[in-house]
Amino acid sequence: MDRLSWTALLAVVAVGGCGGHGRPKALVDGTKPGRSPAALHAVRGAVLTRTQVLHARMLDPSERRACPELRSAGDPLVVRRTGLEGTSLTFEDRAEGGVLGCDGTPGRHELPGPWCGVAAGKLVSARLLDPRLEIGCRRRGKTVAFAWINSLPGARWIGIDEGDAIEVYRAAAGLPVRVASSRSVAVERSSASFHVTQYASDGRLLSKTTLGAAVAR
Amino acid sequence: MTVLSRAPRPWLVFLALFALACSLAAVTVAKASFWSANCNYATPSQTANLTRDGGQTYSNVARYEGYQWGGGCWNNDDVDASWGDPPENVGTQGEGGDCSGLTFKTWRESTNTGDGASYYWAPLRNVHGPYDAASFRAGIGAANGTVYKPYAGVMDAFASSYHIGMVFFRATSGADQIVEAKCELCGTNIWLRTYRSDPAYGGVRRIGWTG
Repeated sequence: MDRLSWTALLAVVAVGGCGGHGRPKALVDGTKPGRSPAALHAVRGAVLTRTQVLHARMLDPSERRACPELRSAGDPLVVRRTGLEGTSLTFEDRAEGGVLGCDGTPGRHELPGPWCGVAAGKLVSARLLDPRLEIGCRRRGKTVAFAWINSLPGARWIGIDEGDAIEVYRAAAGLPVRVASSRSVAVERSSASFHVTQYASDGRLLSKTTLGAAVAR
Repeated sequence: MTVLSRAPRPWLVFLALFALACSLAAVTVAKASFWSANCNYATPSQTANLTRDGGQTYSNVARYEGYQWGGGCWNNDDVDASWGDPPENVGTQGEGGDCSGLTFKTWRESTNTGDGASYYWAPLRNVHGPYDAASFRAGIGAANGTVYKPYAGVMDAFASSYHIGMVFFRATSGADQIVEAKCELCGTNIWLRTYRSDPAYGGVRRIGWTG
């Protein structure tokens, strides 16, 4: 192969590596996504987000102190999620019968620490009537929308269509699943939509919907 | 009754179909929401004025105009055009704001969270804004901040994770007259509240009052 051919080949590899249509190689914190569950082998472009269930005391102290909703919550069980667009904490609000959380994207924010948004929703029969949309966070110049998804009975995985990938979130701790997306956000209308699929533990598709959400209350 | 029972069968079919057509027409009329019939999305006008008494006047217009989850559009006829809608459903598109929507419009804020300037939103301009009560409570947004509760004055607000209301008058009893969009059944009004002494509530304020 002559010099020109090598140059051309390198250019093709470089463009392919930087182009927007490849499957994302890293989560928002720079770590590698986990291996997609075997049950979801048929889901093209699936990228597994990270889900951790831990007590609040086990969080990084700066992370815990910086989440306003956690300050007076004691030591609840917290679901910490890291996806392609953002990170989040979700935990139960036993005093008010709801769920609380904090949302984060990389960069500097008005709130100290990693958080740029907070969320609160009242539960009715263990479900939220409203997804509690939050649109105060930005990443790479785009607004990132966060919302909670009620998982269906029997649902193990929730997929969010990001265009070039399906972000897969694992249902955990019986709490609504906090997801993030910058794909369909309408800041002027204070609204966003999420393309949601839900799968059983054996990979069976349970539902495919578009969730329209608006900032409220 | 006798006439009906003796009526030929085609007449009964015609009457039934006529009744069905009438009910369908009624449903079609009812489907025109308050938003689609009355509200607009005009560009807000930037203004240098941001006064507390102006905020009182503005929020007073919203009284009796109802409550809409995720909403921010009302007229000034003192009638809730969509009273009793199902709760926590933005799709009902009724009249009124919700608690954070009313605060956002009264405080003349921008939909851009990084913009602290003032914008006048006409009552019939449908906008909610990017903040919910929990965001206001945390002081998120360039236009918003927190305030030590004993210092909260007229048109400052008290916010919890689930609700926000603005101080209309400070009462001598230690409670406050609060203007707030409260619920689908109770609408928007001014009530005596003890949010100032409730630990679930924090003090929040609009930054940049000019008077």
